[in-house]
Amino acid sequence: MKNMRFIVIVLVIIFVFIGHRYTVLQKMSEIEKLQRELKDAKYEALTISADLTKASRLTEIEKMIEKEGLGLKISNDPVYRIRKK
Amino acid sequence: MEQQQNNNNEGVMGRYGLIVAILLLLAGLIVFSAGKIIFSAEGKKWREVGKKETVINDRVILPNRGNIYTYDGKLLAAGEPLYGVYMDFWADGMKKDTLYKYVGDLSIALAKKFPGRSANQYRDVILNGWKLRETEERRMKDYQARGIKKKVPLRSRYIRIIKEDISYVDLKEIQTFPFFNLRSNKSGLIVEEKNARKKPFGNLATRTIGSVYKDLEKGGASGLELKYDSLLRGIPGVKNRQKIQGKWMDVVEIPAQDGYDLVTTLDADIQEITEKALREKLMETEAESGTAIVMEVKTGEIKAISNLDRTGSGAYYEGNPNAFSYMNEPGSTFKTVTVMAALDDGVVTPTDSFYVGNGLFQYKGKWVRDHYWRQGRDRGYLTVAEGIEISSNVVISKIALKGYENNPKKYVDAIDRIGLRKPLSWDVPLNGIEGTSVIRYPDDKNNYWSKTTLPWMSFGYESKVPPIYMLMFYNGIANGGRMIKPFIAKKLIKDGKVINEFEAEVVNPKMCKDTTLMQIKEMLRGVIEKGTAKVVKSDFFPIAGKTGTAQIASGGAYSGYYVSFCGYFPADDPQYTCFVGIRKPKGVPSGGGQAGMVFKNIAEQIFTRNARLFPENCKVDSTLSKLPFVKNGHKEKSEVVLASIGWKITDNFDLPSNWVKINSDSLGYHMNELTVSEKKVPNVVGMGARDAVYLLEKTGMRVNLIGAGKVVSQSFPPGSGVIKGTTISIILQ
Repeated sequence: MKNMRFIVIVLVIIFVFIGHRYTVLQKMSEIEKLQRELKDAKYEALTISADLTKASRLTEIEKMIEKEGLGLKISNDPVYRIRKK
Repeated sequence: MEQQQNNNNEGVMGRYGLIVAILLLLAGLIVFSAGKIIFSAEGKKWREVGKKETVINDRVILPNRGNIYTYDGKLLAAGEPLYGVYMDFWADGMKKDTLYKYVGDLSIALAKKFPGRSANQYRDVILNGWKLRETEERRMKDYQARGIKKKVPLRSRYIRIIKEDISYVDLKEIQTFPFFNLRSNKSGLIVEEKNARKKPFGNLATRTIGSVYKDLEKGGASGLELKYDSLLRGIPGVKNRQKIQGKWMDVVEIPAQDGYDLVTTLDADIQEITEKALREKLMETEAESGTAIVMEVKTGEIKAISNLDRTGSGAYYEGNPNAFSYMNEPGSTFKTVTVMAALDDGVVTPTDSFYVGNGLFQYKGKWVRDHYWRQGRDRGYLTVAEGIEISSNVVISKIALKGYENNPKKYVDAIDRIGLRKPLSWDVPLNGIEGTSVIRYPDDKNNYWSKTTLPWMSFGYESKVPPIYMLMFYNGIANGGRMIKPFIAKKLIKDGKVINEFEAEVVNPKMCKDTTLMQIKEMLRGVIEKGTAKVVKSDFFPIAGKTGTAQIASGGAYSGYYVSFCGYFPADDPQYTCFVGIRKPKGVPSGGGQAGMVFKNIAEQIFTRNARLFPENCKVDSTLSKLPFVKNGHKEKSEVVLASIGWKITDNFDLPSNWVKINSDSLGYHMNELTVSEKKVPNVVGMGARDAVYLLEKTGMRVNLIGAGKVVSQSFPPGSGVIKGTTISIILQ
């Protein structure tokens, strides 16, 4: 009984130790999961932004206009810029 | 009672103690046997097994290779993972019946997505893989039975299913296919990540950007990728894999450091314009190759660079970095260098003249010829300025002879002084002497300085000057005599932070005297105004530049021409310098008509793209009015109203009628008479309610008023006879 406090403390430490290891493992698996998600999003963003860049190329747009028969041409006149006075 | 209680307690305690003792003994036995295993030789063995099953040591973490961007952050090259798809037929959970059940659907799905193989072929590949495993299994058993200790090589652990490497998006798709959507230990699907480079702009400036080896660890193979490989590639890290809670997980020991991102000076739009303009001309002239470079005058940034080579089929593709590596005689574009040297050394003034006659001049037994010599016309004397304008070899060689015949070293020293002999390093990888200007020196024993070297050098032969040097020289002129090195790599970025920003290296802060510069600039404008490049003249802005037509030396003889044009625009406030060179065009070689036209095309498109007009620049349409609308009505009252807001009627003050129609245009208000008679229905359209009602009632009619605003219609047409007392309806809006 004299050592009760000591035993309780040891037990608590043991519990914390075991629980800590468990949370660490959980965190690790969460990190792994999030990293996979991040990679997923990153690669998808890359693929899509690359496609967008490709589609917005001058020649690409010209090709599309030609294909759709819109009859639009690049203007030879400079554009007007409207500004606030 | 108490006694019994005690007795009872003792009994309970006794039984309870026994159970505790037994449990403790059991626990002790477990601890003992566990300790025996841990501390004996057996423990060592198990620890090894445990480690083997739960930790895979030290694998490399590949860093992400940095991306390459345009000046405004568009992706030119980015790391894109590609995946090789394999199957492991020794996978623990693979079942023969499941495989056979799904293989048909799987093959069909694969063939649909990746038509490199037909469904039947995919089926064969997969089933052959399984059969191979069975063969291996039989052999293993056979070896075991016969006690042979040889290992059976397990080739069926790694069978390639899809020929090509597939993208991440495709990979996610095949992971939904039948059988492949099972866990990887059941499907045996192995996915091997490979790093590749994606270029969203396709072939645009592709050789300048360069390429990487398929095995990304080898890094850049050409272009910027190679030049800046050490910065782009990053530093690998170390990880191990551990089995935690039954799942394999990466545990990072040393994190990988990703490579730097490289921001270039390139402008995708200008690059596109440049490539297109050059390609069109090359197709038209069926030339062997062509180069075009656009550089921003003040910053030295290369905005576009295109090197196109003709292929067997007659199409043009990005080829050698000719802008840097084309080591040939520059031709007439070099004349400007000679004149700059001569003006600075006080040899001539722009108005000094030299006799050219019919364009032939014999020097030490060799003929200097002007392009017009066959015409036979005697042109008499030409000034220095005219010599540049019409690109006369005779004038330029006579200038060189006048100043430097007795001391050719002085001529080369002058070129030195300008800065054109300075060896420079460029942003693309080059071999040997590529990218340096090879300009001879009289003392050089390896390269004999002959009696005719000086005059021929003066108009662009005997030297090897790559296009980039000529570009730099003309940009120096455009930039007020400050010669800066054109460059492509602008910024290094890591995690969105700028680590390093580059600026153009100043090659020579002052190429020549200010007066010389002014005179040279004037002559270069003359080339376009009245010289060899009249066709290059633009309606939109002034251009200055110089044409070049050089014969191409090959094996001691000359065959074909290299036509070029180098200049800047707008000449009065230079923004861009551009060099265009075309090798071996068909037809009459012409620096102006061939290379110059590409220049003009590029310049006008860039100008249109960059120019901004303001509304004041817009010519006003004379019918367009910014004035408030005034309703038709009483003349004097309209005038009062307009005067109160500060406007006046600009003309037709003296109309006889009291009733007016008021128009306005960009100049102001104009009044026109409205004839109003009391005998006829007046035209009240365009009037306000008060005036309309007044006029109509004055004729004796009643008015039915609908709406508010100005009159848009009236029920009796104007000019018809009035019947007193009838009601006329007017609609106002």
